[in-house]
Amino acid sequence: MGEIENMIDRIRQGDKVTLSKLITKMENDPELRKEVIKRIYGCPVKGKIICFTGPPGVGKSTLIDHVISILTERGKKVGVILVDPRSPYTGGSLLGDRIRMQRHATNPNVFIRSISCADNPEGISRSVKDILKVMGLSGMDYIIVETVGTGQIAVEVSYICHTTVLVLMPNMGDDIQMMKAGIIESADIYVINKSDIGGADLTEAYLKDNVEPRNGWEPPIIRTVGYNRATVIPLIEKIEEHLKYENPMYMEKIKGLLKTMFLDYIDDLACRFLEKESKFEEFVDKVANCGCDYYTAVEELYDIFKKEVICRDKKD
Amino acid sequence: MRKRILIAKVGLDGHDRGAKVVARALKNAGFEVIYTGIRQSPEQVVETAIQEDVSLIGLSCLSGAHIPLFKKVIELMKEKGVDIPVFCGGTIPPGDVEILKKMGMKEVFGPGAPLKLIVEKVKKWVK
Repeated sequence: MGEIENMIDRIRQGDKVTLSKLITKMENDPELRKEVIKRIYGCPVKGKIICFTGPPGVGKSTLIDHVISILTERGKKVGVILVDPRSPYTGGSLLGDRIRMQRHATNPNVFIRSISCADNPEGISRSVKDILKVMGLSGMDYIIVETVGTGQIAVEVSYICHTTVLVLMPNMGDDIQMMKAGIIESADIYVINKSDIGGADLTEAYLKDNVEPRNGWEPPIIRTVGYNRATVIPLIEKIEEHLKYENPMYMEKIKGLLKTMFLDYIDDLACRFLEKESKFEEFVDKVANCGCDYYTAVEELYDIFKKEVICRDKKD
Repeated sequence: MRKRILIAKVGLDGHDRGAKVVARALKNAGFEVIYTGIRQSPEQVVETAIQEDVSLIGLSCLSGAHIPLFKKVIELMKEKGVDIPVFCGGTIPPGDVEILKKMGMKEVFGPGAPLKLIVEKVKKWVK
């Protein structure tokens, strides 16, 4: 595994080609991902992670384009991870977020990577959490994550990021939409983009009614217009302010994230076991033909898992 | 193993229908396609290919400037020490096809090139 250490060293020195290659390897190989994380766990990460989430088409990528401009003009290094959906039917994807920020493609202080996501309804794929760790080694001051266009349940991102920005636009629904649980409760900063198209007053009023202070932080609501860079500056100021704010519930937040990561890994192990276990298909057949119920089938598979995997590992 | 392809339009040329049709066909064939959009410089294309770690680049040009622009992309890759195969398409005069292939293009697809053929070839190149 000397190769991994070599790559990590080069990434620490700011080598973008190696960073890009290691991201590919981590995406394709969960075993390698694990080895990388075992090596870098506990390493201090300099970069602050800012997440942009919200429904498709509200202008997340366009806002990020301005944010990159403003931050790099202030001498900062910025890494960007853009997550777009992968087709559950063909496995293919069209990664089209970076089209909005191609003017930064040749900036040596910017690294942009598009990632497809299929395995997580919450807007980021599992590998992204690990990839963020690796990007953190490369000396970037900020790491921006753009989620898949998400609706109502992308709460998990708020655990991963220092600051979560929820981007909305006018005329997306009435106050009932804002009253629903989930994403509306999770952001640190709310943006009403495309606020020049009319209807922004009502959207802001609905938001104001439903966004509540959390642990001493009062989430601001900011209006932006994608083609007007000046409107994005107040957003940056609020992001900076939030990054300085010390969340008294920080440890709780981290523990929340860790719990989801534990569960993810258990899920991974179970999936890999099932892929190899010939009885899996047999049980599926049996349930499909009403031979038994799926609870019983899973319990029997779990017994095999305990006997074969856990006992075997103990012997090793 | 996910297979990543960059589709890019170089130069001052807004005709992106062809590039989009090819990008969609490759997406439907199960590839991860990164599309840069129009009016890219060769520098942007090469830097994007590096950061996205793609296994193949598809260049599109309908402005007539394909020879110097595609050549620049290939030169820049050599300079940066990366070796990614490239194919291209657009309104390319038959007389230029050989020149482009000598330059290193895997294939040159003109107007009317069947999508099935493009997908088949790409599948061969990106294994």
